[in-house]
Order: sequence, then structure tokens, then C-alpha cells
Amino acid sequence: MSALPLQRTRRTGNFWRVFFVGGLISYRALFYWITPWQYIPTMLAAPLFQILFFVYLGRATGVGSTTFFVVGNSIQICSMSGIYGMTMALANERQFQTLSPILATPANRMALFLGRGLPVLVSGLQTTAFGFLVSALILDFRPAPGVLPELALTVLVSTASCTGFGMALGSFGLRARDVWLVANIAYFAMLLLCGVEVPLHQLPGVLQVVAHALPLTHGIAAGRLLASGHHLAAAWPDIWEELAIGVAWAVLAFLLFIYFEREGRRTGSFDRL
Amino acid sequence: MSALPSNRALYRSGPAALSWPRQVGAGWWYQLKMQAQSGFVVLVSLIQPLIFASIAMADQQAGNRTLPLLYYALGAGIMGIWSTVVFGCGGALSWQRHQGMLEPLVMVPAPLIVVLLGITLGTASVGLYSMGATLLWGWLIFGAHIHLVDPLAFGLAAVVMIVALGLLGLVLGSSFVLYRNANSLSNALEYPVWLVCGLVVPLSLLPGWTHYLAYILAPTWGIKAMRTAALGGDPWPAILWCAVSSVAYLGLGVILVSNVERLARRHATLTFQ
Amino acid sequence: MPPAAAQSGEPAIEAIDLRRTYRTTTGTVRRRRLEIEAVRGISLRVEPGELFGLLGPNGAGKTTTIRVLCTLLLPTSGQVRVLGMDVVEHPRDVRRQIGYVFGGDRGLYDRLSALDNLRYFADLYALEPSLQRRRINEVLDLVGLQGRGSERVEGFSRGMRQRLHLARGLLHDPPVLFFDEPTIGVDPVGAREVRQVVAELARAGKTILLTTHYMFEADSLCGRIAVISKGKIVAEGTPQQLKAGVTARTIVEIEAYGVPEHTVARIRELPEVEAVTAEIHEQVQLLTVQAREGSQLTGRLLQLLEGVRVERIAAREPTLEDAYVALVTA
Repeated sequence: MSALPLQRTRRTGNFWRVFFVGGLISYRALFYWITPWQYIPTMLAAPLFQILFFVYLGRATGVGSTTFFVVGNSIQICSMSGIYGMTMALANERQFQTLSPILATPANRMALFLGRGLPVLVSGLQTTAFGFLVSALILDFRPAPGVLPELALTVLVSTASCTGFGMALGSFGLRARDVWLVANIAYFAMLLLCGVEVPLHQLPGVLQVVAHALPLTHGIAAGRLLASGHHLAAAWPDIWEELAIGVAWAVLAFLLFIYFEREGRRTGSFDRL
Repeated sequence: MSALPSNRALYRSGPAALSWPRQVGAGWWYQLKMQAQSGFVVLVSLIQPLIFASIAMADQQAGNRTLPLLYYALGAGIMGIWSTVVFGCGGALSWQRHQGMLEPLVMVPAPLIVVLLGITLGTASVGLYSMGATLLWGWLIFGAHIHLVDPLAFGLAAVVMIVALGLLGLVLGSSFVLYRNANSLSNALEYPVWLVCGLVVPLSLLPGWTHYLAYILAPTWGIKAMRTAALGGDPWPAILWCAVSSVAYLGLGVILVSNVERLARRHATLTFQ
Repeated sequence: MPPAAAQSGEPAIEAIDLRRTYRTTTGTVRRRRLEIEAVRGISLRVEPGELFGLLGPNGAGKTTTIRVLCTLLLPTSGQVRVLGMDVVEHPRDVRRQIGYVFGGDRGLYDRLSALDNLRYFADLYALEPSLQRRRINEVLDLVGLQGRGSERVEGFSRGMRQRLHLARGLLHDPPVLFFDEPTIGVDPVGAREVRQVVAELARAGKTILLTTHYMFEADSLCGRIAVISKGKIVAEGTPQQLKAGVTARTIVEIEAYGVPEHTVARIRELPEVEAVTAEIHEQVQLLTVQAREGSQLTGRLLQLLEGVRVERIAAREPTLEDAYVALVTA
């Protein structure tokens, strides 16, 4: 037995610790593709070839331009982390049965939850930056240099928004059995719907509505405007919409998390797979 | 123990090789049976190809329409078969090890390559779901004109391609098991092969040096054979080359599998340690 | 044609100075190579028709030994023969004559039925097709799974899985069987059923080598036992012979609450004491003191345990478990 005052009395200090340090630790524990042997093929090589594939598909079908596909795919690949990474960060607790011990602590729920999003966001940014960089090197993707900070902002907003969406999916993983199926379907559906590979106007009306509620659609549109020489003013509306959508999904995710936690305490579903 | 006189009487008489076709067939059948019930398999062999088929066909409709919809439906079908092969066969040995099945499978008198061949052929056959699905989808949703110029050659091309891919799958499986994480390698090899083999992008659009890679990969010949059989042209050279590649893969497979068995016995990697 | 099976006088299983070393690497940044000697010179000989036990704690080298004997692992050095055939040179011929059954949850195709699992392996064992159905039914009967054949394995309990493992190992009616911890994780009733099958197989003349860390299992089933510890055989003989190694001892069992470490050390230092082991059962500590025969220790033990709450102190006869503990903690 220890006579030391072990528990920190200042709650706010702990909030940031749980947010940053806790978030990073849980990321390392739960993210599957963390070793270089897995990270490089899955998070770098595969997305890179995705960009190349669709650029050439565009050339074969005569749709869009190199810029169209480079911007679309480079931004979209952040969802490798945003969707899969985020789902792992939440749903894998259930798989390892560590969810109960975590929820038994008094840690602030928002810090716990949102803190996991930060490493995911950073990872998504890395992937997207990599995509843009290699495209600039090996394809003829040449955005005007002045546009880079604005493009970076668009990428940040889009990645954050996608992470928020991933949180909502991941929250489902706290309750549902087949969250992986849902995550996979979401990932591929976004490839089709968010204007990544197919121009939005080509989609039937009802799917366009769905696209506008998903992350990345507006961010990609803004990115394309910027990369093809338009001013920031033209892209602002899309950037704001992307931000709003991201926040909405994150709020929904947090509410789901709180709801599932309460329900989990009631029905004992934390560790039942 | 047994009413039968001795253990020797239970065994089939004659040289061991006589049993090989039956053993391959048994593996094929039971593997197919198991895969057909797996959710992940359904995802990879149905949903993913349908999404890609939709993207390709939507882009065709948005673009210059030089190539018919059937071209893309076929290509997407084979993209699906490749995904099944690169994940299912590439991961086959690793999956068997994870299931604790490698030891029982090595303990049988049948040569390991015979056992594995049944497994990879069965897995490759699951890819036929993709082909059927993308053709059906193309017809239903996009109004593709599904008319096969030479149905017999088409069917034969499909069979020869599945066999070639099963053998290529054997090569993949016995290579991937030596890598730390088979799944990551599979992830990295989807897009490159789709691109290089000219599944939905004509080879003429790709840099010349990639053609050398294309010619040693079975999907290149498979898509050529099936496309010419469906849309018109001479499928027989491609069918022949597909068959030739099968023989090359078999030879390579024999070397790799015996290497795996040797290494496993030396370094105790047959169990999930 | 495989080389002739065991002639009379030739052992069914034979290992001569078997050694097996593993090379692994540790660490992520600075990788160090480690050599772990799992088996350090084991020699054993099992006669045809014997039920031979390999008994030892986890990590002693039992599983490594049995894997080498089964052709799954190459020995680093030494000679190993099954039915006169070298396991390194003729693995395929050896495999036709042996069955390997291991414990645990894995090792079966969950999504297939029990029958399908057996049918698949019946083909892999190249059993005569016209005899397969009959043989499959025979083995299912033998292990007590008749009628459950069409159920999928994923619904099977651990005990049922174990029995299906057994059935698979018996499909080709091998004369030599290897069991690696066959009752691990199985409930007591299921475990007893497994042991009954093993005993029946031995009575029918099969040669069996069984590894286990359950002393009573080795004691009740095996004709001869080898105790393995840290990669070496530390004792070998019939259960009676092994117990004789400790019958010249008195065992004193003490149930107490909270015996401090220094007291245990002082007990160990008593001149007549050979070994002391301490176990914790819920909140009670069980100290087992092995002393030379005829020692009158109770008085001195109680003195040393002054201040400690002692529930029970009693002297008893040694069992095989005591022999085992003495051997593996030496």
C-alpha cells in the first residue's frame, strides 16, 4: 500500500496528458500497420499506385486531366488512415478486450476519444503529402507555387474532416460486430461517390446528395480549383463546407461514443464480440 | 483397432503420384467451400470489383467512349479475380499457419506442393464470382451490351486463366509467407498489377518497359484472351501464352515450396510463434 | 516401398543425443542474435507397443522433442529414427506410419464439418477411396463423435475438437502415435474420455509417445516415463521406479497464511530438508517440505513458523508429483 497521493488532483492537466500521450500510446498499441514492413507497402506504396492507376484510367477514358486525378486521389488516400486507422483505434479495443479497463478509469471521455484522432490525422497528412510529392516528381502535376499554402490548408481541413467521419464509423465498432465490413464499404463507396474518380455531375441525383454529406467531396473540389489556378476566394465556400461536415461527423461520433458507453454499461456489451 | 488387417491395406496401391489429381481436387473443393462462406471474401470478390466497375464505366460514359462498356466490365471482373488471388492465395500459407493447419498439412504423405496447389486453385476459382458480378452489374446498371463473339473460347480462356492464376497464387503464397506480413504485400500488389496488365488501361498508353512485366503476368494474357473472345479478334495466341505461363509458374512453385518446407523444418516456422 | 518396419528387437522410436538449437533475433534497433538450446542431448528408446510419457514443465523442450520425432523439425544434431527410418532422410515414409495429435483450439477447419475435415485428410493420406467412408465412421466411433460428423467444427467444444484431432490422427491407422499435451485446456470429463481412448489404443498394440505436464496423467497412463527439464532428461523409468527415488523421503505439508520469504529460506537451510516448494491456493500458502526419511521436523518447523497463522501441518507419503518436483527443481 502506498501513502503517496497517487492520483492527480488537477483534472485539466490530466486532460491534455490523456489527449496527447494517451492518444499516441493507444495508436501504437492498436494500429495494425505500424512497423515499416507494413507501413510502407500499405500506407505509401499502395496509395501511390492508386494515383497512377486512376491517372491512366483517366487518360484511357478521356475524362478529366492529370491534375483532376492527382488532387482527387492524393486527398482521398488520407482515408487509409482516417477510416481504417480510426476504426482500428476504437474498434480494436474491443477485440483486445481492453475497452472495459479503459472505461473504468475516470479519464475525461473527450480527451480519450479525440486524443485518438490526433495521430490518425497526422498519419493521414503524411500519406497525402507523400502522394502529392511523388505525383509532382513522376507525373506532370505542376500546381502554381503560390498555391501551396492554400492547398495545404485544404488538405488539413479535408484530412480532419475524414478523421471525424472515421470516428463515427469507429464508434460503431464499439457496439457492432462487423465494423470492418462497414469500414471497407465506406472506403470504396467514397472512392466512387466523392468525386475522386468520377466527376460529380456524372452520378445520379440521389448519389450526389449522399456525396455532399460525405467528407472529402468539398475538399477535393476546393483542391482542384486551387491546383488549376483559381484564387482562394473561389475555393473558400468548399473549404468551409468541408470543415462543417467534418465537425458534424465528429460531434455525431462523440455522441455515439457516449451513448454506446452508457448502453454498454447497461447491457454488458463491451467485451462481448 | 480396425477391422481392416493392416495399415498398408488402407492406402491406395500404386505409385503416390496417382493420388495427386484427387488430392489437388479435394483441396480445390474444400477450399472453395470454405471461401464461399467468408464475409471478407465476399467483400473482396464482389463489392470491391463492383465499385471499380462502376467507376470505370461511369468514366467511360463521361469521356470519349472509344472503348465499349464491356471492355471495362471484363477488366473490372479480372481486377476482382486478381484481388482474390493476391489476398487469398498470397495469404494462403500465412492463413493456414494462423489456423494451426500447417503442421497437419505437412504431416500427410502427399507432397506439400500438391496440398497447396489445391488450396490456391480453389481460392482463384472464387474469383469467378467477380467476373459474373461485374458483367451482370454492367448489363443491369449501365446497360452494357453483353454479347460474346466466341463463347466457347471465352469459357476456355476463363478456365485457363483461373488455372494460371492458381499457379501464380502458389508462387505468391510461398513467397509471401517468408515476409513478415503477407497482408501488407498483398495490399501493395493490387493496383500495380491492375495497371501494368492492361486490365482497364490499354497497354499502348503505358511506358514500353512495363510491357516486359506485363508479359510474365497471367492476367495480361487472361484479359487479352477474354476480351478478344468477347469483342472480336483472335483469342488463341493469348490462351496459349496463358497456358505457357502456367507451366513457368508451376516450375517456380516447385522450387519455392520445397524451399518453404526446408526453411520451416529448419527454423520452426510452421507454427504461429 | 519404405524400408522394412521395425524388426523384432528394434525400437519403434529412437533418439540418440538429440539436440535442437533455435536462433532468434531480439530488439528492434540493435538486433542481437540469440541461440537458445531447447533440447540439449536427449536419448530415448520406445519399444513397439509401449505407452511412453515425456513429462516436464512448460518450456522444458517436450514440444520441440516431439516435433523432431514427427519430422516437423530438423534436429541440430543427433540421430532420430522411427520404425527404423531416419526422420531427416525419409520424412515422407515416416509420415505414412505415424499420427500426430496436438492440443489446443487450432488445427482444424472451423468452417467445415467434422466429416469434411476427415474426408479432406483421408484424401491427403491417399486412403483407398472405396474404404474411406468406412474408415471415417470407424474413427468417429472410436473417439465418441458418432452422429456429430455433419456439424461444423466452429461449434465444437475444446474436448470435442481434441477428439476430432485424435480421429484425424488415426485415419490411416498408424502403428505409432504422438500426442502433444492432448488434454490441455480440456474440461475434466472430456480429458478423461481422451485418456480412455489413449489407453485403449495402447491396449490394441499401438506405440504411443505422449507429452504432458500433468503428473497424474503420466502416472495413470504410461508404462514408462522420462522426466525432461531444461532440455535434458533428468530421470527415466516406470512410475514406480520414479516414486522410489523419493520414497526415501518424508513429506510435510503446511497450510499457512503469509509465510515470509526469509522463513522459507530458514526452512530450506534445515539439515534434513531436501527441498521446499511454496504454492499459493487462493489466500492460503501451501508449503511442501521434502526431508530425509525419518526426520522429525514438525516441532522445529512450528518454531520457525511462530507468528505465522498455521492452518494445518501434516506428514505424508511421497507421490509421483513430489518426485517430479524434486527432479525438475534440482
